[in-house]
Amino acid sequence: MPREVSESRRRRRMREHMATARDDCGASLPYEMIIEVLQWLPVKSVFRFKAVCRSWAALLSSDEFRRLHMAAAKAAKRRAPPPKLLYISPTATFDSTAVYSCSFSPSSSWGRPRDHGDLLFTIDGARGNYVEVVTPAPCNGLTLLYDALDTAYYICNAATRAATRLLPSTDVACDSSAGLGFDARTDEHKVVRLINGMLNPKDLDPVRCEVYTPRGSYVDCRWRPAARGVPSSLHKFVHAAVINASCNKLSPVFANGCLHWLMTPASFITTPSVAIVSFSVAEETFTCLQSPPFWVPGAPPTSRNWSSGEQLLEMDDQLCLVRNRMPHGSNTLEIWKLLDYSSGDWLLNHRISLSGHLARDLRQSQILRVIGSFGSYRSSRKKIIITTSMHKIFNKYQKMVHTYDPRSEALETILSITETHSTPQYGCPSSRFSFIQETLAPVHTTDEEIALSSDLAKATREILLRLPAKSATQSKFVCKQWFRLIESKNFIQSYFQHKNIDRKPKVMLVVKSTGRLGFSFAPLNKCLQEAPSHSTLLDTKVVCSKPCHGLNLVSTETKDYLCNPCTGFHRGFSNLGPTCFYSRQ
Amino acid sequence: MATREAGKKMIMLKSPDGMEFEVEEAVAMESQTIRKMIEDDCADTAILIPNINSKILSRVIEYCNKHVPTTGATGAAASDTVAPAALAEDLKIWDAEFIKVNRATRFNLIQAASYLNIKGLLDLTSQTTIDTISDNSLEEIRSFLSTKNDYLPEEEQTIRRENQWAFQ
Repeated sequence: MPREVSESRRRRRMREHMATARDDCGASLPYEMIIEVLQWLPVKSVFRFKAVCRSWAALLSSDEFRRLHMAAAKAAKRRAPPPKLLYISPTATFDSTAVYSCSFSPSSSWGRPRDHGDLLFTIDGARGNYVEVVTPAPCNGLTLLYDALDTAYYICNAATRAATRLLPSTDVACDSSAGLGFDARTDEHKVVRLINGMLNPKDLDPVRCEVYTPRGSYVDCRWRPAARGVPSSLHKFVHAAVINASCNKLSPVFANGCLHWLMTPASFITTPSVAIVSFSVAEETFTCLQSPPFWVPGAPPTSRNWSSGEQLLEMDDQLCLVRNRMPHGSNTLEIWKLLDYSSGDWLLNHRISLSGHLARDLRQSQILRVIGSFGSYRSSRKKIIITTSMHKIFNKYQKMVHTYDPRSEALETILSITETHSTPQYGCPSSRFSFIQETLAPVHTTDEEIALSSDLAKATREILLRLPAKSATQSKFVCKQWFRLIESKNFIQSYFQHKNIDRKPKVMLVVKSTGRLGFSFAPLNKCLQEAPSHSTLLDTKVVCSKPCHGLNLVSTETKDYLCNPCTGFHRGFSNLGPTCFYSRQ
Repeated sequence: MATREAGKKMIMLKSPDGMEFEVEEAVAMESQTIRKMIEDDCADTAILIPNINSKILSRVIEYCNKHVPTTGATGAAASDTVAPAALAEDLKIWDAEFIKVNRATRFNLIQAASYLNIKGLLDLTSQTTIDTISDNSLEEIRSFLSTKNDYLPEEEQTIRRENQWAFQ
């Protein structure tokens, strides 16, 4: 009943939207019918049609229309054209991330992404070689990205070309794993992050869970603890799941309203009877799911290898487990489907043979992941998408995307690119692939981003860029907006470019100072005007390097300092490595 | 309720211009609106279908005849879950042929499908319309759906700029 009520309310609101429109335009099709028709529009056309007339713009931007459109997109899933592949790649300067789309046809394959894919948009400030795609397949239209350098998550909808940066969590830990889920009851996405805090003795909870609900308002945008914490009986399982996720770069999988993390038997002395930690996104509660039949509970783990070659997968709206048999000498991939949550019955759904000539790339790769499927089995066009990564040299990896047709057992290579990965933790490189769902799923830009994109903010930024470095640093404390402007990702870079545009270096002398450092910087012309005296000239031995990206290395007899002569920023290093004090003006 | 050979229940549908159509109950029940009437026992005599002329109604019946599940299973849902791939392919070709009509007829079909609540037909007609218009220029769309442009030129420019990627 309540659903019907809300449905009728929605319809009524929709009619109100259209009431004004009806007065304006005499249509050959009644307006209710126009909505029926427009909900089938491709996303691109929705954005284009906003320019048709005011009433259409209001209708096409409304939440009601978005819901109708998303429902229609779900219904049309079956006969929709095959989805597109999404992949991210660093821009030429490595300071941003470019998001590309590419079709799943095998013709457009080899080379650099920018040679053949369509550039959708770029995310400024997300350092491309550190950015990974967290969600293998979009969750209700949205994709989660992670910038490992900045420890910040991004949510994007590749179909509407919108992206937003989530505020970083304050809970930094060496092991954590996040996933994106959708709460159908509140019609909201949630980013869920599990954190292992074992290494930090101060922490009361050895494992923690925090949730971020991306909404527009600045106040709501923060990480908060999950409604109910991790039950202590599940601590060891959650801990094992987080380790598996972060070591093997296995993201949780969203299916049936829950996020699922897989454990590996190698974390335990004897194989447990549960294999998966499941988190209900709506209820925010934890449960564990039964292990697949090839795990032998109670027995010691068959392999002490941290990478068990198993991964989770969402396929045809069901939770699946992929078992890579290659480490065990058999060239097959098995996909098991969880039939029933309570009984924990698993069924072998697909067995993919990788023995043929075409599968050579798959056999040789270090990492092999099944990321999803498209098309339905009945329409004989179902394809399973497999990504591989092979280490080439230093930080270069060859990444490939393949499709597998379960009917004809044919493997096709869709894309092959060589990418640079600078992951702070050594080990396997992260995923760069996902696919695109054509939906209007909203990406809520945060108040901060809106504030920073206003005309006033842009003008303020231009002024700040022209200030001397010291004043610019001090201006941070004028107001919150200025602080955010100056602290924002690309301010320093723009500032550097702007100041050094004439390539006229500023000469400074290292002079004696009474401060703790024993030296300071003084502009050359100032020193020349004054007569040299013992109070300014150095009496100790100091060596100063050439500037590198605005910083100079200054060595005294006892210590090394990294200094910015313009702002006065310095950091000291003793011979034993980075230590001690850190000051900033 | 009229009864014909083999015990198949027949339903009489009446268009406002006085034409009468005798159809099998199963065929008529492709329409959720008519299904509800039958289930509520409001279908003892002929059902009057308002707003849909005989030409359109005959086409709607033609569509329902083709799409009624052959297995006799219930509802529209059955037609897209149990149909083998070949049959589905066949239906697709038939649909494509069926929808080759002029704009006015298609609009009438959309309205009829909406009133009679025939999901398959509504999806088909709407999708076809979308396929025709989604790549058209804004002017063509305005004239196609008789909508007028009420933007000031600079407003339209702003909207276009904000959604620049969609115009490329």
